[in-house]
Amino acid sequence: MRRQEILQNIQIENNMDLVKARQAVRIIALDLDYGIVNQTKLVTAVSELTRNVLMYAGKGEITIELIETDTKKGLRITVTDKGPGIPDVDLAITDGFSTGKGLGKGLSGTKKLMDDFSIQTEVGKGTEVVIIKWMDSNK
Amino acid sequence: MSQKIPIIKIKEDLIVSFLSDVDDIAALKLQSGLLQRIHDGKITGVLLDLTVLDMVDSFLGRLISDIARSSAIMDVKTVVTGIQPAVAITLVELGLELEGTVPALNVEDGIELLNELKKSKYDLEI
Amino acid sequence: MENVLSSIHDILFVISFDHEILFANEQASINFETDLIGKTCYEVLLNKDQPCEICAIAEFNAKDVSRFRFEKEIFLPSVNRECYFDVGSVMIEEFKGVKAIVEVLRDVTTHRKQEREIELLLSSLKDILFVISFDHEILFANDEAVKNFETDLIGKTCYKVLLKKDQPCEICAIVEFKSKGVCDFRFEKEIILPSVKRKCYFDVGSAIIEEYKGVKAIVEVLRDITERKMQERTILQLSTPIIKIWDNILAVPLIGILDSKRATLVTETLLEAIVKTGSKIAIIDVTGITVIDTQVANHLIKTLSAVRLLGAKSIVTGIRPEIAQTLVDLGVSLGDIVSSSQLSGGLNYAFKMLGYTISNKE
Repeated sequence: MRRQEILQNIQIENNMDLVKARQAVRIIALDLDYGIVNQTKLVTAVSELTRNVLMYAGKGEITIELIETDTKKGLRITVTDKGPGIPDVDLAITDGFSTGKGLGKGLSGTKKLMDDFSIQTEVGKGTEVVIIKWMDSNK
Repeated sequence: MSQKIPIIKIKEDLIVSFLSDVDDIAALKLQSGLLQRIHDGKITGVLLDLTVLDMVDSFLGRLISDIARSSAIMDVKTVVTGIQPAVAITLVELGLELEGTVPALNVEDGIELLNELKKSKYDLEI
Repeated sequence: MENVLSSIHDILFVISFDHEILFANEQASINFETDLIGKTCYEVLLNKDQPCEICAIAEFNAKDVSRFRFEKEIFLPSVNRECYFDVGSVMIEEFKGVKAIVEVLRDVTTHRKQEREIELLLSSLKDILFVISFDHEILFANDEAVKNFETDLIGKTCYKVLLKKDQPCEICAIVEFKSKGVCDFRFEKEIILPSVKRKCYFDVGSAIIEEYKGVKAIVEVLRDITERKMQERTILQLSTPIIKIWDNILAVPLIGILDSKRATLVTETLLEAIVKTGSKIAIIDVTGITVIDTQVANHLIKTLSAVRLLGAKSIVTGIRPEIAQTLVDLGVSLGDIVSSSQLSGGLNYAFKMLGYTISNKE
C-alpha cells in the first residue's frame, strides 16, 4: 500500500445515519471521479452494511479511507460494530438472495458489488467488514 | 426527521414520487400508507416513480416487490418507472428483479402501461 | 612464499604502507617493463606524484578493514594501452619487517570492453533501459533513461528515483526473481516521467544477468505504451456504436471479443442511450461476436435484465446455433428473450411490437 488516508468517520446510531452514510459516500466517490455505476455500487454496498449494523448491533462506525498502490487508487470502507457477531458467517455470505430476508442478502450482495470484501466477526464481541472498490473497476 | 413520501391520486391510480434519499422508516410508512389507501378507495393501479432515486438497495428492492405483491392480491397493477441506468445495473448485479412490477421508462409511459395492463383479463407476463 | 606468488597469472604487488613496492611478481615485471622494487606504487603504476584516488592503503588506514576490492584503469607499457583491472588487496602484518598490503590485479579488460560495447548498443535503444543490482542500486542507465529522468541515476536506488518511494515497488522484478526463481519477468508499470511531467504507461521486460560490474543484476527495459493505452480507450469507445435506427428503436451491433471491460461499457452506454432517446426497443446483434463463453453469456443476460428494468424490450439477433446452445446450457430460458437469427428479422419484430406496418408506395 503506497498511501492510505482517512477521509471520514461516521457514527451509526439511528435510521437517519443510514441516509447520512449514503450521502457521504456518494459525495466522496463523486469527488474522486468514480464512474456513476461504481459510485452507485459503493453507495448501495454501504447502505447494506450500515443497515446490518443498525438491525443487529444498534450502533457502530464507518471509516472511509482513500488508498493507493503503485498501480491503482480506490476507497476502502470499514464498517464495525460491537454487536452480537455472526455465528455462521460463511453461510451468511453464500446464502445470498435465495433464502429470503436476513443478513445473508446484505452481505452476499455487497460482496458482488465490491472488488474486495473481508469480514471478521466473533459471537458476543462484534463484527468488522472491510470493502474495497478501485477506480476504473470493471466489476 | 424522516421525510414523508407523497402519494398522488389520479383517477384510479396512485402515483408515488420517491424522494432522493429514502430512509427505511419513510419507506415502511409509504408501504403501509399505500396499502391503506388501496384498501380504502377504488384503486386499480400503482405507479412507483424512481427517477430521483440514485440508489436502490436490497431493502428497498424487497419493499417494492412486497408492495407489488400485496397490491396484486387486491387486483391492483404495479408499474415502476424511471430506474436510472446505474441503479438498474446494480439491481441486476444484486439479483433483484423487482418481481411483481412492470417497468416503464417514465411516468407518461407508465400510465399508458397501467391502462394496457388493466385492459387485459389475465396477468400479463412481459 | 615468493615463489608461490611469482607463479600467479595475475599481476601481484606487495606494497608497504609508505607506498613503496616491496615485491612484484613475474607478471608485474613483464607488463610494466621496468624496475619496480623500491619505487613508489603510484609513480610506477599510474605515473602520478601522489596516491591514487582509490587507494587501498588509504582505505585500510581510514577504515580499519583488512580487505578491499575495487576497479582500476591502468596504462600497461607491455601492450601500450589502457587496461581495466579488478583489484583485490589484503593487509599483511609483516613483509620484510614492515606492515604491508598485497595487491592482486586481475585483468578484466576484455570483459570490460564487452560491457562497454553492450552499453553503447543499449544506449542507442529507443526504450529506457536500466541495469539494477539485486540491492536495487542502479548500475547503468542508457541515454533514453537519463534523458527522461533528468537526474543522476547511477548509484541511486531504483524505487527512489523511478517512483519516489522508500521501499521496493509492489510489483518488483527483483523481488519476483528472488522469491520465484524465474529468470525473466514481464509486467506493466505506471511512472510519472519528469521529462513530460505526466503519467506514462510502460511495458516492462526484465531478465537476470549473472554478472555486471562484479555483481548479480537485472536488466530492465521499459517500453512506452502510453499512446497504445490511449488508443485502446478510444477504440473501446468507437467499437460500441449504438445506432438509433428508428424512432423508439436502438440497435447495438457487437463485434469481436466481448471482455469484461467492453461488456460493461456496452451495457452502460446502451442504458444511457435508452434513457436519452426514450427508445422502447433495443436490438442487440451478436453476429460479430467471435467467442461466446459463459462469461460473455452472463454479461449478455445481465444487460438484458437491466434493459428490462428501464422499461424497454430487448431483441437479440444473430444467435448462431453454438451460442443458442451455450445459453441453454446456462439455464437461460430463451422464452424470455425475443430472438432472431438475422438483424432484419429483429427489425421486423420491433416494428410489429410498436404497431408499425411497412408497405410499398404504389
